[in-house]
Amino acid sequence: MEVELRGVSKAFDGTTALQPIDLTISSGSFTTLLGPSGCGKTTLLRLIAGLERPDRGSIRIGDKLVFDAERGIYMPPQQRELGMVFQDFALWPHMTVYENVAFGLKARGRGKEASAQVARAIEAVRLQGFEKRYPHQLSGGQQQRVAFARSIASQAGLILFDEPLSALDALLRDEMREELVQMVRELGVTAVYVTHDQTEAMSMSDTIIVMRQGEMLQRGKPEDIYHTPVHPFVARFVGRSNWIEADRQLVRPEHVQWTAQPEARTFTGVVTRVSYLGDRYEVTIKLANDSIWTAYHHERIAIGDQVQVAVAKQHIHSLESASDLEAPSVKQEEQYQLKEVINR
Amino acid sequence: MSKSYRGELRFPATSWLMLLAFLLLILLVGVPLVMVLLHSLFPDSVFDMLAPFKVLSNPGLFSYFWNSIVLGAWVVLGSTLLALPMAFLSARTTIGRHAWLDVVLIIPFMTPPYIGSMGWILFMQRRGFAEQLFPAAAKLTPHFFSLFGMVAIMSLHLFPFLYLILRNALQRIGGSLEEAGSVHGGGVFYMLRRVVFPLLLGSYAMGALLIFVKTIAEFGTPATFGRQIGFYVLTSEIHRYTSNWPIDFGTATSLASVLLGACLVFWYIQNIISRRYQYNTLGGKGMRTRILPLRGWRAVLGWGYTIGLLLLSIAIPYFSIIATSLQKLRGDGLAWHNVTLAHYGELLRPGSKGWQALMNSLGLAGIAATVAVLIGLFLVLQMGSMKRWTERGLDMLSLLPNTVPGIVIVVGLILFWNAPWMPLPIYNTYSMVVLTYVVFYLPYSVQYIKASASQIDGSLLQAGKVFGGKPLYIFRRIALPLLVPGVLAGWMMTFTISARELVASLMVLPPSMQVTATYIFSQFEQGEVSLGMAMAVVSVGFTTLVLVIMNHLGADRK
Repeated sequence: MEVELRGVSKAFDGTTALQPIDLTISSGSFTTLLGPSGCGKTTLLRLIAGLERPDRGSIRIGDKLVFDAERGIYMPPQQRELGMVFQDFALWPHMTVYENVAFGLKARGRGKEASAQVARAIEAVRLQGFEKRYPHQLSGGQQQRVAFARSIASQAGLILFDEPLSALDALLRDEMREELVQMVRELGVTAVYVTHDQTEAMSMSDTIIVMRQGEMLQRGKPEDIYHTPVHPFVARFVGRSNWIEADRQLVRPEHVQWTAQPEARTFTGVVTRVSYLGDRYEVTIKLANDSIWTAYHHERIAIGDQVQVAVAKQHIHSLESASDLEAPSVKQEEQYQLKEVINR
Repeated sequence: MSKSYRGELRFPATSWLMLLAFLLLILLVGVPLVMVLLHSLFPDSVFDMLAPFKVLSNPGLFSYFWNSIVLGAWVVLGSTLLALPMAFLSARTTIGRHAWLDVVLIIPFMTPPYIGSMGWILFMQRRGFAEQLFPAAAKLTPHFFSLFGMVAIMSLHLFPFLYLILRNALQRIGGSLEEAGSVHGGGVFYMLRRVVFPLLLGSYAMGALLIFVKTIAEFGTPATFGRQIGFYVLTSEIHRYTSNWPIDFGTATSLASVLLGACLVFWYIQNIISRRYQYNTLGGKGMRTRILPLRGWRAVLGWGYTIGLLLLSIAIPYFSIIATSLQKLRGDGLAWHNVTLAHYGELLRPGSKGWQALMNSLGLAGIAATVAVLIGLFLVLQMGSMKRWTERGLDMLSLLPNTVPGIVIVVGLILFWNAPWMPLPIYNTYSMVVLTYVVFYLPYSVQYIKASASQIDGSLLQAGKVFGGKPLYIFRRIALPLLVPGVLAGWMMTFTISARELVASLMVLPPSMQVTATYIFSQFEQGEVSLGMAMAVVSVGFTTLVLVIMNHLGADRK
């Protein structure tokens, strides 16, 4: 089911949450909205769901025009026929697993097909035998699966995910990530997925949309986002970036070599930190021009050593028209550095 | 990212219903209170700003006011002396592991004060149970009928309230704050003085002021014990001026205004204190409180105190009431041959006066509880997210009857509904009694239902929308079932306390009609005390049974 947004924007109490956006999400794709808190990704998702009403523009889901500001069309969420997995799952505590999953069918007056559809959905998430349990009798991962079963039970063609894994612990998150992708692929539905976790975005999606301050910065395949970012913010937010020229030219850490090949550019610097990751050492180097780089090495290097590193020309990515883009403020830069530290 | 999207719990979302909610509350609560104030400012149909104060310049009337204040102060002291050691024992020693204690210690608070006072009177009066059990006590018992006795009875009724507040505060202070103190070199007394007491002070001040306000607003004990010893306070005198000849509504409303003013002033002080001196002593981490193991003389002392307290606050009044209710002839005293169930037989004989009073009570309380939860549910649904001032205003107005002494509300309701221009002739009918109960106990319904509502996360209702539920369907299938526990709790509380309510019943019941509370009251004053006490047992027993059953049902639902 294709989703099409034209010139959609939204402000809350005068604060812009989403700048006018044009976006087409192709049928059957897994699209991730990626960005830091307050970037507008959740707002965008809620606009598609109909939980918020856009200020401008139009939204089409499949062949239904669900919102058009000019023509005064606003279809409430009830009529949009989509599935959604909420951040905190939002399972109704007074209903059993069965009742939770069957809600969408019964609410739409399709109670007759309920038992068959619910059984199918519960089988898809492998929760057979749990139908009569209440949500509080389930583990976090099981609750997550119920939330997913609920979103697919009424066979909606579009499923929205609002940071569905953020309530789980790290180990379970990795496991559920793979399971979720697999289930979505098997059903062949269109998925729109919101997250601030780049690992999640990279490993699950066909398409990633990186957002910042209510603006869509880049849209592309995970590989494109990583290797050819178009905006310094994207380069910083997704993966590690070593800047050859601030906000213009960068190289990813795995392409930093310790021996120079012909035609490679070389840089010298001082090792300021070395941390052991088990399979390799992560080395932080302060270059002569004061930029901080990250590189990987197979053995320990002493802190304070003068080192020379090399980068092959084809691995240097230049941002196009970087001059047009306003540089992120110092404060933001600090935030992302902090984020990188936390993500390690 | 954890934004919470709240405020979807409003059904249906129209503003004229908000207006209706305000009108309803103003009619039920606002206007009657304004009537009290207005009436006291126009003593002889002439405006006199100072009229309420003139009342105080009358030495006789001033003494009522002064007695109320003195009584309040003594009861605060009495409750503190009773509650503080118990709170310490429960929070910091192994006695606290006995969870049943918390349930048992609530009993005095849940006992209607007029019934507790009657128990004490029966115990201490001449040829009462104290003298029958210990003839030597005859020398001491007459001294009980004094301000001391009244303070003791009221303190024994109100201390559980302060106990709970102090115990929670002590538990919150937690071991680590004290350990930090001792690591940094403080001795035991230094630490009590510098760490524990300052942290406790905010909670204590709050609890003490609440006790004070509850004492000066209390009617049951002054009406029973106070009158017997000639200690007159505002509440008992307001009642006298409105119901005994010569009736003087002017003086009554002035006294009511004074009482209302005093209560509001103390509530306000309480509010300031609780905002300024409440420390957030509850850490996010699991708490380790230091638990003192009790051994040897400490165990004797600790358990001795606990058992003594339970004896005084529960055993003595209940023993007196139950024993009296079982006596054939009160003159024959405590003896097996003097035991009879005849009084209960008389009460439970359909058609007897007692039976009628009982049925009246249950019927009125049931109707009042049902009306109160319906209004409460309606109000809570209009309060939505409590963000707008209208929603907060609605909340405040609906909780007002909890702040204002019951007798003031009754006087206001009588002034309003008995006014010559009032077109609805409900005064002197059943409806007036139901209305009074509803106004009295609306805050309970609102509080309980609001607590349920606040647990419903906005996303639960949004999920309902996304999965295709229409507003009515979402309300019926999601919001209402989640509100049911609050509605049940509100109904149960309202039913229980309405069924025992004394002051409202005394003042607004139609002349020929009785409920359990007035029946007990009149039998005790001038009738068969044993019958009255049997009714007290039935009334307390039945309402407790309802509480237990409803609690049990509520526990099953989760």
